[in-house]
Amino acid sequence: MIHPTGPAYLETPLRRHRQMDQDFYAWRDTWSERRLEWSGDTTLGVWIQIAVEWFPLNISGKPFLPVGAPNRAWPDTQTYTQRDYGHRIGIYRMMDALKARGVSVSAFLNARVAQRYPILMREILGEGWEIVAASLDAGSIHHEGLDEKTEAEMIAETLAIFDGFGVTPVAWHSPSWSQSTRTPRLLLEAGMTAMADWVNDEVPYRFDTGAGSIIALPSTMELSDREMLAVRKQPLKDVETSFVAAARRLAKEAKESGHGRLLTINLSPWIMGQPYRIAAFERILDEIFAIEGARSVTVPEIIEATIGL
Amino acid sequence: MMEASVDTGQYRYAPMRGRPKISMPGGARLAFWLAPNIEHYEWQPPINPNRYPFRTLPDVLYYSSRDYGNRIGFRRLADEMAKRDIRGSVSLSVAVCDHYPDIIQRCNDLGWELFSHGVYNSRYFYGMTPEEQRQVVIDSRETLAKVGQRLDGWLTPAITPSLETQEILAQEGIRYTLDYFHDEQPMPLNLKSGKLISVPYSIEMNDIPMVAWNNTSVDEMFVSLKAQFDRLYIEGADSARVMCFAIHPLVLGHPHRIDAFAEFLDYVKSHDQVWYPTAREIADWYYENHYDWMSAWLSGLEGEQ
Repeated sequence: MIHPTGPAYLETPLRRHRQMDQDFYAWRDTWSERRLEWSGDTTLGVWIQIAVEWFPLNISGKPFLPVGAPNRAWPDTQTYTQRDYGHRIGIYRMMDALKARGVSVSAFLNARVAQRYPILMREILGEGWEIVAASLDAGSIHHEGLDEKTEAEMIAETLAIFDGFGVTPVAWHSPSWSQSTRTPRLLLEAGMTAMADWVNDEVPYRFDTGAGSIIALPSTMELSDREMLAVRKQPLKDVETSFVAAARRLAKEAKESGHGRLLTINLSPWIMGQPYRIAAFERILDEIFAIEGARSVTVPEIIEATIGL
Repeated sequence: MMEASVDTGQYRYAPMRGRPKISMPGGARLAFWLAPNIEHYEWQPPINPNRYPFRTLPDVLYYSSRDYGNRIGFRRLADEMAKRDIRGSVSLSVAVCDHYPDIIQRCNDLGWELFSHGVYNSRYFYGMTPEEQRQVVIDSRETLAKVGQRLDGWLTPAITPSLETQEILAQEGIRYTLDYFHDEQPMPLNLKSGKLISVPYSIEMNDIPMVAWNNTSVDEMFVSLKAQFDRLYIEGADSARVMCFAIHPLVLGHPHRIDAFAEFLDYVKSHDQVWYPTAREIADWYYENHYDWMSAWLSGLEGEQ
């Protein structure tokens, strides 16, 4: 049965000349123009984001269930404990691989992880990983159905928990890459410089929150183990090929254009930290950082390298 | 109106076996065409009661992953096509002419054809009345005229036509539709009024179904594309075929996929007897050389249509 849409369905009030259908940013041609310039001999920045997320056993599923959330009949201990494995085992395996190669990392960290597992929080800090605040937990979905006060409190509580460890993040990531229309402004008001939620660009850009601007950092779903392994269920070999192909392509573009390029990768310890996958992870790192001009970078350096922000 | 139909009633059963042969310019075996889908999906579209593809609204991931195609992917894709001198026939959300005139300028500079894929790809035809659908066709014609292109072809947004849609297209003077997937050659449609042919588009050789629905890896995608091309190139020696690769900058424009796409184009280009028309040129060639006699042949066939 098909339901009628009605005449209002033809109305397009935001069909505007040379403007998006929202007021956050303008269209631009990122690819052709010079946007990034790295220091030294670097031509390809590689931003490795490690998603350190706690999936509560009673995650609400409002307004949607995040990828990786417990979703079987109560209590879904199978999923819950498998995700928790990432915090106990997987992340340390990845830390070792990254440290051995001298790779800088940004932890996209749920504050509840720090609160619940302070030992892990101190280990992360001890590794020198940058902390990108990723709200409270994986079920803390920022969405239009939240009232502004509730959302502001989620942000404030997150930052207060990190403050307890002496950490003041400059950048934010919203769980499941979900925001309300208010989120960017609330982040700015909470003192954030940048956010990594919009997956529409490969270089930072100015994002108008309606009450001042915040920096939108590149973010990625395509080049994540959550998308390729947990959702699309691709063979590990293909995932490895994709990460390396992306790095080689961007390095080639950097060489040909003379412009800097940035590769953004997002990985989860409960996925990539498994014993049977860790060798592939190590090979990915080895192959990417063997590329001439490739170097790992984190938020301050990415912002510093951006031209005309 | 036609909701109770058991079939479209718009084309006659006409098998490839026993079908009169068709021939292409220069004796090509195969017309190979690329259909870049340059689309805009709205930030806060009106909800169509028949389809809700979002996690929640607004959906930053849904919106921004599609916006990537217009900010980054398009340039990467257009550059690889231009390097190999292959034009695109663009399945265009015509509001792209308003929001992104620079993209349209680039398409025009490259000699690409623009055809309509509706106003926005977030406005499904499900549930629209025929007259409302007609308004979108008229809007498309007027919008494309402003950027110097004649509206000849059509693909319904998100492929959501009703059975009336093809009738409206023929009445409004559209030359070809891409909504039907029943053949490997252009085919006349039987409509109540006007003339319309289907030109083969593809829901198989299409990066969205491959990647987003079927979880195809990059390597496997191009193994399939080469196999499809190889077989059609062989069979096209007997009677010419059309191969379309439907592509999306938001998919193939990513750095981990673009080189495999470029390599596939090189593979196609390493063959002699391939014609590289736009979809409009396929339709023109077919109307001029085949439409009348193929229609006569079809009308003599037995069986349902």
